[in-house]
Amino acid sequence: MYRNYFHLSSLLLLATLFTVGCAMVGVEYVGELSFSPTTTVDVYFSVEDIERGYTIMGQVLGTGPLGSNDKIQEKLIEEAKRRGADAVVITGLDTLSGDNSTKSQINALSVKYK
Amino acid sequence: MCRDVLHLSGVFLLVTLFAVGCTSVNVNYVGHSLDSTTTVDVYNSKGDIEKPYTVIGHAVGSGVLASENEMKATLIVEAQRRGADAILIIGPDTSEAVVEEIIIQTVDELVETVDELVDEYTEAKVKEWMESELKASFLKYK
Repeated sequence: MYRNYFHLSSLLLLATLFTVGCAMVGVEYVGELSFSPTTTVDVYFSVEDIERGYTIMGQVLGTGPLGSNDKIQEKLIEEAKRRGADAVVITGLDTLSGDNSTKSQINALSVKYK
Repeated sequence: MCRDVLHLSGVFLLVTLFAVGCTSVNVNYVGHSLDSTTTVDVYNSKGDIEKPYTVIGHAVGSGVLASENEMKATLIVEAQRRGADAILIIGPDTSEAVVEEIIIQTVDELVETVDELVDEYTEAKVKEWMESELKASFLKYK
């Protein structure tokens, strides 16, 4: 009896770990690496909304399960701060259908003010 | 003859059930959520927008067998919910394969095509094959 419970608990733990593992949000960065980290970044959804001089220092791509856009955006901001950006411009969104799951992909630019 | 009719009925039933069950449009959105609005202007070109605006977010509407109008209507409802004053349609993204494969000349070709689909693709693959999407930016007037 207890052996069955133990078996079931292990299965549940395994399933939970698998689900958490699959729900990971990933961020990729390509661009300038020489800036010191920043503590805050402004968030824009179009480069035309930036009202001061700037240079684009890199591109950031965030991917995660559908419905995790807030989490992906959070990770993009963290990555931008780590790379020394002053702002992040979210330029687009894609919904990627795979064999077993649907993912969301957010494209962004990291920006340094002049 | 009866077998063909039965086969054809089965094919139509399958296609109808698939269409009824799958025409809902899903919206994927990233951006700000403001107080909801009651009307939303729709633009197909940035050059047509005569008022100053800020982009508050981006959305992708996608659905299996969904028409462009259905996706546009769903995006408008989502834009109202997110507090946008207007949406700028970026463009439909329907793969050429879909357009090419859906042009079926005869009943025999229809039967053959559906048979091939059932044989060669999983349900996920069929969905992917028939799925189209519409992208839009949500705007707030200044």
